[in-house]
Amino acid sequence: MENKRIEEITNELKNDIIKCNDKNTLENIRIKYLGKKGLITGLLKQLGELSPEQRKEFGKAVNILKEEALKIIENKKEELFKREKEELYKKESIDVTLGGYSLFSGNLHPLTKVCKNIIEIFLGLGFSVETGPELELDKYNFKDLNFPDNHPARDMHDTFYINNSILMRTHTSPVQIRAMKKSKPPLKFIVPGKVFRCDSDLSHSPVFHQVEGFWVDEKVTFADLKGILTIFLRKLFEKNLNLRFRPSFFPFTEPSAEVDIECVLCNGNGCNVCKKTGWLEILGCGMIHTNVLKAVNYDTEKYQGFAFGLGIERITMLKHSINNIRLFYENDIRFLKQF
Amino acid sequence: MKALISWLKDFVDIELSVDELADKLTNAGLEVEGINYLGKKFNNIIVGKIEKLNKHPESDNLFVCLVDIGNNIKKSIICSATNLFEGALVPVILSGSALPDGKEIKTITYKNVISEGMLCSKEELGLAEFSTGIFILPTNLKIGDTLEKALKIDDAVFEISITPNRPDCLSIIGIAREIAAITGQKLKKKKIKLNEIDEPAEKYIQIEIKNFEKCPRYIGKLIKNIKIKESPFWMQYRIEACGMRAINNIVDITNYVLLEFGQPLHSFDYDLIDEKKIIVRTAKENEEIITLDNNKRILRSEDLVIADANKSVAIAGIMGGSETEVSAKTKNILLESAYFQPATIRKTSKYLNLSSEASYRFERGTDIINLKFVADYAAQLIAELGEGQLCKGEVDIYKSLPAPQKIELNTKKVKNFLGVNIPEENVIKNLELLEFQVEKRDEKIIATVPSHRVDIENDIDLIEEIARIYGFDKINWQRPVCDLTYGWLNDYDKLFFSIKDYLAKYFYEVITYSFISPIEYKLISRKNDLLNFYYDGEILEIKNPLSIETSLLRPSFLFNLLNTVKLNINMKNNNLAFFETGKIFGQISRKSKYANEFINKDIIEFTSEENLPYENDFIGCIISEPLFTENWIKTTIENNFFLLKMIIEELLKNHHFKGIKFMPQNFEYFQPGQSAAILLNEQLVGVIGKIHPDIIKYYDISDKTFFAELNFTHLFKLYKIESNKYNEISRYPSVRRDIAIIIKEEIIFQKIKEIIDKLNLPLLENYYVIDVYKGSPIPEGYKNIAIAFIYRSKEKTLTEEDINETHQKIFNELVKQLEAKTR
Repeated sequence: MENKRIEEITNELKNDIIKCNDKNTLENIRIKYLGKKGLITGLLKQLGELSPEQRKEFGKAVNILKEEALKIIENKKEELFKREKEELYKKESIDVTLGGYSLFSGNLHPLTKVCKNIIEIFLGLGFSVETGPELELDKYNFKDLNFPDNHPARDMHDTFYINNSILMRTHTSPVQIRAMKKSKPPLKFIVPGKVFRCDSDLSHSPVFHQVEGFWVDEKVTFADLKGILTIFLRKLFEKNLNLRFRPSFFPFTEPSAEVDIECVLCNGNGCNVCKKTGWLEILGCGMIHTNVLKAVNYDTEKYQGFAFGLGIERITMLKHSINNIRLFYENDIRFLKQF
Repeated sequence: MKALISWLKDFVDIELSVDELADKLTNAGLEVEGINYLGKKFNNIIVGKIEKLNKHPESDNLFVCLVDIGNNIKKSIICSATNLFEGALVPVILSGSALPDGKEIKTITYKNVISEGMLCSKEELGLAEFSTGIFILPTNLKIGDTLEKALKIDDAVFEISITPNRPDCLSIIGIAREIAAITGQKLKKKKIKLNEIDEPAEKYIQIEIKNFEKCPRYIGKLIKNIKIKESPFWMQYRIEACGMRAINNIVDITNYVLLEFGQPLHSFDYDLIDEKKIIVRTAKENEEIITLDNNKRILRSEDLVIADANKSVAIAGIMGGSETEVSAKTKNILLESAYFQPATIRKTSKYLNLSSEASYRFERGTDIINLKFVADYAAQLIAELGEGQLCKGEVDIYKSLPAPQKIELNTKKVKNFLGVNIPEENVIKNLELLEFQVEKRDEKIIATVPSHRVDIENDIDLIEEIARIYGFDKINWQRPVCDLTYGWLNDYDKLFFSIKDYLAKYFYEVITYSFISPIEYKLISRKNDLLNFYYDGEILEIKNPLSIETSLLRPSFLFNLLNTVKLNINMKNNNLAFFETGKIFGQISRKSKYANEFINKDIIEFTSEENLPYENDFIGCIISEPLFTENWIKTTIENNFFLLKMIIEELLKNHHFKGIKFMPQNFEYFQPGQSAAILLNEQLVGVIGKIHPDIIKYYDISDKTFFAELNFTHLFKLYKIESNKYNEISRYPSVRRDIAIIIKEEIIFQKIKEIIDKLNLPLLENYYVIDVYKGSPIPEGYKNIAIAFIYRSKEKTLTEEDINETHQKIFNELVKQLEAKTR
C-alpha cells in the first residue's frame, strides 16, 4: 500500500513539474512535497508508525523518493532559470544593422594630406621643412631670383601687388633667398606653402600651393637632382614611373628642366588627361642660377645646388582624378569627405 | 611661335617625320605644344572653276555660281562673297563633306535655287586667322584636284612655346638653327644679291640718334617707285600659316622678314617724312601720336619715338604712326631696321598697355649685328616684289658695336656640375653645332658667342647648351652620395600639424582663398577697424585684384568660414563643422583694445625688419546647423556654445597648455552675452562665441552658428616644447561630496573657481558643476548651482572625517565670499 502511495506521489510530482512554468509554482511544488507539511515529508513522518522491517524498507523507498524529488525540482529550477535568461536576452536583442550614433566628424583637406605625404617623403631623404611669409618683397620674389626689373620673364608670373615693393608671393622660391641669407651650406630644405597669381580657370586658381625644394652644397649635381626627383616621384605615386627631363627656362635655375612623368592614368599609353602624349608635366627644376647664389653672397666657385618646385593641386588632382581645381576651394562637404 | 615646316626647310634638311621632329624639339627645350597638319584637312576640298556668275534671282546680296569641278560635272552653289569673277579658280567643298573645323555642308534650296556645296575662304580652311572673301587660287592649278594635291600642302605648322630667354627662336631661322644642331647639320645660309641703283640712300634721308642708350643702332634704306599690290601667294601662304594677316606687298614683306629672322622692321611712306629727316629721340612729356591702330597715345619723356623734323612718326619698337603709314598711294619707302634697348621697349609697352609682334621681340632682345643683313634682305624683296628701285647702301648710325663675347669654360666643370662625363670633343662639337666658335686652351675652352644668342653670359650658360644638345635624358639619375643629414620638422610646424590633426577629428578642414569681399567686410566692420580680435590697424588691399569681391586680404577666417557654411547649407549638406588654418593679414599698428586688456607681456613683434605687413598663423573653427544627422537614437548633445568650447578646451589641454580660461568679453561679430575671450596664463590667445544675429541674417544661415578663432603664433610662444614630467598617480580611490548653493545670477563660475583655487587644497583633486538652476522656488535674480568635489589622497583611502574639514572650508568660503544661501 505504501509503495503504491510512493508511486502515486511520484507520478503526481512529475505531473506537477511538467505543468510548472514559473519559479513561484515551482516553489509551491517544493512546499507541496518537501515543505514541513509536504507529502514526502508526511511519508517520512509516517515511518514511526511502521514495524521495523517495514520501516527499513519503506524508509529507503521514501528517501529515494525525496532525493529524486529534490533532483527533479532542482533540474526544473535550472531549466526555468535558463529559460528566463533566454527570454531576457530575446527581449533585449537589438537590430545591429541600424546605424550607430551620429555625432559629427571631420577630415583633413586633401591638399593638406598630399602635402603631409610629400613632407614625409622628403624628411626621409634628409630634407628639412622651412617656411616664409606670403606677403613678400619684390626683391626676394623676383630680383634676387634673377628676374631683373623690366624683364619679360616677369610676364611668366601674374602678380598681385600690395604696393610697389610688396606683393603676394607668386612662388615659394623666395624662401630659398631667405634660407640662404640665414645660414651657410649645406642647406637641404623643402618649403611647402601658399602662393598667389592673378589667374583663374579650370586648371588655375588665384591661390594655390607649392612645394619648393633645394639643396646647396659643394658637389650637388644635375644627376643628383634627377636622382632625388626620381626617388621622390616614384614614392609619391607608388609606381615605378618613367621620368622625362626637358630643357626649359626659369630665371632662377640653369640649366632648367621641366619634368614629365609617364601618365599615371593611362600608364603612358595616351589619354585625354595627358593629351595623348603619354606624359604629364609635373614639376619644374634646375641647378640654382649663379646670379641667385651671388645675390646671397655665396662663393659660386665653391657652392652649387639644385632647386625644384611643384604644385600640390596638380599632384592631388592626378592622384585622385580631380578635374576641376576650384573644388579644392569650394569646400563642399561631399567633396571633402572623400579623402 | 608658329613655325611652318616647309619654311624651315629653306634652312635645314628635315628627314624626320613631323611627330619625330616635334619630340626632338621638345626634348631640346623648344616645347611643341601643338601641330597643325595643313594638308590632311584639305583632302575633301577640290579646285573648282566659276563658269557662270549670276545674281540670285530673288535675293540681292547673293550670287549663284555654276562651278566646274572636273570630269564635266557642274554644280550650282550660292555664295555671298563679292570678290568672285567668272573664270576664277576657287576651293569647293561639296555637300556631304565637312570643313576642317568639323562643320558639315548640306545641299539646300534657298528661294528656289539649289546650292550643292560651298566656296571657301582662307579662314574657313584654317589657312589664315582672318580673311575676307573667297580664297582665289592661283590660275595654274588643275580643276578637280584636291586642294592638298593642287597646292602641294603636305605641310604642318608647329606651335612652339618659346621661353623668354630665347628671343632668337622667335623666328624661322632660329628654330631651324636648333633643328640643325640637334640633327647634326649645318644651317643653310640665305644668300642675297642686291640689285641697287647708283643713287645712294644718304642722298634722300638723314638719320640722327639723340639717345644712344635707348637706341644704339638705326639703319634706314630707301626703295623708290614701288607699286603697292598683293604679295605673291607663296608669301601670303607662309605668313598666314604663321598666324599673320596678309595685307599688301610692303607690309607682308616686313612681316615675312620679321618671322623669318626675328628682326622687326618698319616701313614708312617716305614722302610723308618732313624734311626727310629721321630723329630717334625721347618723347616730349605728353606728346601725342596716333598709332596704326588709330588710337591716340600720350607719351612720357622716357618713351622713345622715331620722329621727323616736326612730329613723331612711330613709337620706337612698338608701333608706327598712322600719319606716315604705307598706303595704296605710297611710291617711295623708307625702311627701318634698328636695335632698341629691351627695357625701354618693355616699359613703354607696359605703360601704354600696347604690345606688338615687334615689341615682343625687342623687349626680349634682338641681334644688333645682323641688322644690316636683314635690312638688305627686306629692301631687296621690296624692290623685287614692288617693282621698285633700291637705292645704294644705307644710312647706318651707331656709336660702336659690341665685340663678340668670349667665355672661358673649364671642361672639368661640366662634369662637376652635371654629374656626367661628356667627352671634351663632344663638348666642343655641341657648342659648334650651335654656331659658337670654340678654341681650346689647356684644360679650358674659349667659346665665342654668336650675336643672336643674347642670353649667353657665363660658363654655366654654356654648360646648359652642352647638356641640352647632349640630351638631358642621357644624364643618368643617381642616388646622391653625401653626408648623412637629418630631416626635421621644426617645433612650430610640428605643433601646427598636430593641432590640425586634432581638429580634423571634429571638423572638416577647409582651404579658402585668402581674400574677402569689401561688402562683407563693411557689413561687420562698421567702424572700419581691422576685425581681428588680436590686432588693430588697417585692412590690406590688393592693388590689382581679380575682382572687387576678392580685393581685400582676410583679417580673420570669419568671412570665408561663414561662406563655407552658406555654400553647404545651399547644397543641403549636414555636419556643418569646419576649421581652417593659415595666414591672416593686416597693416597692423597696434594690439587691439582686447589684447591690451589681457596681454601682459609683449611677446609678439609688430614689424619685421623688411617692413612687410603683418601676417600671423591663425586657426578658425565654425559649427552650424545642421550639425548632426537626424538619427533613430535621440542624441542628447546639443549644438551650442559649450560644444565648441569643449573642443577648443580639449584641444588646448591635449597639447598641455596650462592656465586655460574663458572670460566674458563682447566682440563685434558675436552676440553680446554669448562671447568670450580665450586666455592662457592671462594672455589673450583667442575668442569664441555665437555669431551676431545681424550677421546671421545677412548670410541667411542658422542662428545656431558658433565661431572660435585662435592666434597660433601667440599660442606657440606659450607652448612647452620639453616633454611633460610624469605626475605620480595615487593608489587610493577618490571620494565625492557635493555642494549646492544659491547665489546671485550675475556671479560667473569663474569667480567660484577663483575662490576655490585660492584655497589651494591638497586633497581636492577635481570639481565640476553638476547643475545650474533658475526659477521657482529659487528667488528672482538668483540661481542654484551644484558642484561635485572629488577628493583623493596619495597616502590612504579617505574617510568622511578626513575630508570634512576641507569640504566645510570650501563651503564656508563660498558662502562668505558669494553671500550664498543654502537650501
